[in-house]
Amino acid sequence: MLITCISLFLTAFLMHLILWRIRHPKSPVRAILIIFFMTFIAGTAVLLNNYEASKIEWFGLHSMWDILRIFLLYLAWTFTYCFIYHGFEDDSPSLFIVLNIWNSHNKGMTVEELVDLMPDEVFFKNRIEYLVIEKLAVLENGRYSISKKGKSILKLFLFLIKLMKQDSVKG
Amino acid sequence: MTFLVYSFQSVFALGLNILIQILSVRYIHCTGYFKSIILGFVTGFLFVLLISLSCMHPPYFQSTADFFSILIVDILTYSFLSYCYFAFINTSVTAIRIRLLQELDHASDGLSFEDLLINYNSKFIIQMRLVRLKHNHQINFDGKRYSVRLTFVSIMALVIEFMKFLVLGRKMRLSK
Repeated sequence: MLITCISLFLTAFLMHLILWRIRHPKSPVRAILIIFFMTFIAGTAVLLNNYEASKIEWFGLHSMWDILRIFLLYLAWTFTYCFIYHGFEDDSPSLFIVLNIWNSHNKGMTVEELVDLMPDEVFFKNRIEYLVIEKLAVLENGRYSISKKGKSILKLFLFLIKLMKQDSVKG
Repeated sequence: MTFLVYSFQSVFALGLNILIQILSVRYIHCTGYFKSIILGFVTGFLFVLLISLSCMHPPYFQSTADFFSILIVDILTYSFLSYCYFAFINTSVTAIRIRLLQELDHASDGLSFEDLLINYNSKFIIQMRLVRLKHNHQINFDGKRYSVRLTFVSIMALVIEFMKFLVLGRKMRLSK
């Protein structure tokens, strides 16, 4: 069962790698979801076709419940990958800090040295552009403002912050 | 117990995880945010184990090999789902994009890129993250300089750097 899921995931991952080398999509997460679900549908169709002929015993699939389990694992794995993928596209400040301190070896780094390595553009330019692309913010005459969609998303996250008893968005 | 509950146990465990996490962060005073996440995860994990062990009889149980195969699949599914939940709620607390949206929401006339950087800039983020990393024992501080040791965050930083190279073809920023 696990082998089936790993095979499906690796096939989708390989396709994703090849496609990214050819052309990087504008909405990468959407593209990843499409690739991974298409692979799952194609893979499941092949499995079900062979299931009738009882050719897949070694895959450990005995009933439709097992296929449901594979689907759940695949779904959870795909969503996890989408969350992690966000970390590839943008530099996470925490990981950026740790990586730079790591590169300084035993010498270590001061706050000032870290600030010098991180111009504001690194963290903000891509992110604000993402907000505009996803229509969460609007850019007019060189000024950014929040859109209706952005307000709804912000409301949801502020509710979560309250629910988690956190003070504010810390950043 | 039906096959439905047995098959969806990882989803039910996630539900339990969320319930325990929210209840503990809100109503158990000694439980902080991160402790509540761990408590929720462990409760859900025990639920998966309990349900699996209670199904060690026909018609659910086919063979020992199958039992362990299903158990591994369910534990992995539950762990991935829990990670998604953690990443989602953590976004609300730490994401720069959400903070930027909040800054824009506070400004009725909108903000230029330079205006945005007045209240919220790299220096502010670095100081905030250094405090958090130090508090979570992910980096050391000798009073002047920060140094790093092999921890979960440093391993994650190296893995992500490798994945950026693999997926996006970016050059690895690791010095020898």
